Amino acid sequence: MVSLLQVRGLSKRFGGVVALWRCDLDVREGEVHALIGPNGAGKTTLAHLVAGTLRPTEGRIAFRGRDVTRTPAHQRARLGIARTFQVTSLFPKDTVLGNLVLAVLGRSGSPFRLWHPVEAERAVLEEAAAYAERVGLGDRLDVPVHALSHGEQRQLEVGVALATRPRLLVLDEPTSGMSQEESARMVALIESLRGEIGVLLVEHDMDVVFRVADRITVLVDGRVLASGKPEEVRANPEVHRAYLGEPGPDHVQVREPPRPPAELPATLLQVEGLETFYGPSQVLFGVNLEVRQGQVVTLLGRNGMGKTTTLLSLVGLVPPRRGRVVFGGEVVSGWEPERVAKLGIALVPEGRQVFPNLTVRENLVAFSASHDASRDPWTLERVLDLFPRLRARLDHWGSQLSGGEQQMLAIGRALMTNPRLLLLDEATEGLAPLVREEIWRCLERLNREGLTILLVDKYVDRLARFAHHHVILERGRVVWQGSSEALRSDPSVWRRYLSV
Amino acid sequence: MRARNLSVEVGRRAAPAWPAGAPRALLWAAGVASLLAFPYAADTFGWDFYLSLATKAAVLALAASGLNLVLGYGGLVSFGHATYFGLGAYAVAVLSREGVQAAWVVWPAAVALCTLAALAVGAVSLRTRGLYFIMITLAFAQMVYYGVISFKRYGGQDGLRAPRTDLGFPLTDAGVYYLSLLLLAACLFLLWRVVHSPFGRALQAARDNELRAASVGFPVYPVQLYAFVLSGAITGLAGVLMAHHTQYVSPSMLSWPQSGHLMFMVILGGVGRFWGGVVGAVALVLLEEVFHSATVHWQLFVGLVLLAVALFATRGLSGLLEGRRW
Repeated sequence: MVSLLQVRGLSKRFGGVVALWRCDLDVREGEVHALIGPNGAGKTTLAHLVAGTLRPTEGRIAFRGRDVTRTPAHQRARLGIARTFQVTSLFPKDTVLGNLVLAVLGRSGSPFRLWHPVEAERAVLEEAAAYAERVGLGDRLDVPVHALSHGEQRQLEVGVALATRPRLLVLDEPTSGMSQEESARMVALIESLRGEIGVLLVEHDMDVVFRVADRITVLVDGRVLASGKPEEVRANPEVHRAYLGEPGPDHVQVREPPRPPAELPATLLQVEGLETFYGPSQVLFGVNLEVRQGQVVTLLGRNGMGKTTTLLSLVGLVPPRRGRVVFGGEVVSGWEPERVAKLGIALVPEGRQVFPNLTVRENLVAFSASHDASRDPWTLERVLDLFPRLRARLDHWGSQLSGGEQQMLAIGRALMTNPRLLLLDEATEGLAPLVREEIWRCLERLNREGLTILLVDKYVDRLARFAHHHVILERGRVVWQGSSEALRSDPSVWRRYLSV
Repeated sequence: MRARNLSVEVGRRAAPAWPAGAPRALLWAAGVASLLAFPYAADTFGWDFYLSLATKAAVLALAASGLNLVLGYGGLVSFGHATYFGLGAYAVAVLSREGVQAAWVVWPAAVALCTLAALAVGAVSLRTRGLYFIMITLAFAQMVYYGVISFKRYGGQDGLRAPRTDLGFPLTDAGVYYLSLLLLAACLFLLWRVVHSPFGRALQAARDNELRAASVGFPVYPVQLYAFVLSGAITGLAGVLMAHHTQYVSPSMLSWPQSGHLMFMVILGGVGRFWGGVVGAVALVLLEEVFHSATVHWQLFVGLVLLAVALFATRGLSGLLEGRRW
């Protein structure tokens, strides 16, 4: 069968780091081809190379029999390669329709039509509206991008790519950060493309991958480990070891569930009646919670229930309108974020937000706090012991790190401020199972060393193995809280608040 | 059905800045009429000075509108637009010094010079972004500035007389005023079409998200270069008009404070807002005049106004006037 996309011997180096090494890949007309692999395997790099936003160090890329290795991104788009981005990348000031119109314009005709207003091009508008319909945003045409939910933005992202009428669609983690419901919609959309156009799908969610993929290519450390039908890949023992997270010895061993000490430790953080608004819309409706010294507390709930907002309100990044936050005996609600940080609350934000133009070392050292005379202050050395992977990357730019490494850097950076309470927002979002596990183990270790942690994450099962207390939010209110045992023994809680 | 909804929707988006409805049309007619009648009033009441001020405002409005295309719609902070303004003006003076006075030669030559200069500067500087772009456009402007003042024949530091070009009829002050208004209107019409065309959308898309713009198929660099050249040509045309207005050119027209002055106008009026250049230029000319007549420290007060706009009216004066988005 003729390949739509043919990649041969493709390598990419960033300075001294080899991100991809002699990769081969074929995507056939009309198939859904999944690209999987642990974090840092080079999946996004490969997506960039195929779309033309990066140039390979060596190797060849052919699209529909034509060599496009040196073709710039915008010309590849016109040839029929479209892509979505891992981090939603739209025209933020424009509406849904506006974004789609731009995509249709980008594909059709010369960009140097200077005279007639866009509004006069009826056909363009109708086509754009049709794409909105297709990705399920038909009734949201005039909504500006910033007012869309995360899931809707991801849908629009795909719509914009489709509106360029591609022959090959490169989807970089289209379901990341989506609720199960939204994710199911996305899967249906991808399935509807089968037979129509070729899809190269970079995805972490194995359920999604095995549902939609016709063929799968596994990347590990920048090399192609296996490629074939889902059954073949699933049966491949090497793949299992490298990616699907074959349980290691440490993993299987039943851990002793953490026992709360006989008498409850002192309260470190007390939140009372927290109400937070974004403009006129209220997000938190009186959140109450308590974190005790040395505990790990999770904040659970479906997407859009106010978890991130709660964290942001605690540190003052989104000041609450009503309610009280008491930390270590001081009322910190109403404080500036930097004052809260100095008192000892560090936030590891969603999406990591490392400084791309600082090196790993600079990212870490820039935040070392000298003001805190705690008995065991965090040093660069101590962070590197915790995350040995960062040691090899000390002099690389933040932007050169893989997702997992960026996450470690973000945690390290927070630790360098010597916090008494560490807040983590979706710290394992978009990470491969093995890297997630690595992060969780580090958190366990930090907690054993005495650090208090409040985290937002969705892997309830895993969290229940080391967290002391769980708080479930639903529409800006606490609807359930209790210990890991209580959570595990009550399946109705799961059904009601956490799954679809 | 769907199509009708769309056009209604889009029509509403497009309409506000251009006159719509009878009261607005009347307002416009009154405005145009008073602009046209102004020289007669000036003549009658001896407001020569105000006619000169109005001409200056119209010329600067043209220059600032040209800059707004790259600064506002392109998101490209050119800190060297004085180059095109000054070159346009110098072309008039230098050609006159060399004995060429015919308008049909001088005007196209001056604009062509500015177009070429913008092409050269844009071709190099658009390969960079952010701070580097600012610095490179500034560096080019400084090169041109020092290049021009090194020509003793053309006045060096002292500047040069610039007699009005020969249009086939004597050009009075009122004539320069009308000519400036006419060219301002023509260029605004051109700019209006451009920023609302597919090209204009592409330019704004590249400003808002360059990677995405390329990914949907827009050739970002050529689009930005085209806009840069158009912008330079329009600002250059303003320079030609300025030479006709003052009948004298000085190196300060090429200097970086002049570039900054143009940027001030755009920021004051509203970056990336269609009327930003016009509103900003008129407002700044008036402000300077008011404070200038009131105090020797007038620049301080102009600065305070700019500060206030930067802090409290980020959409500029035209944003305030309009009171809504489009």
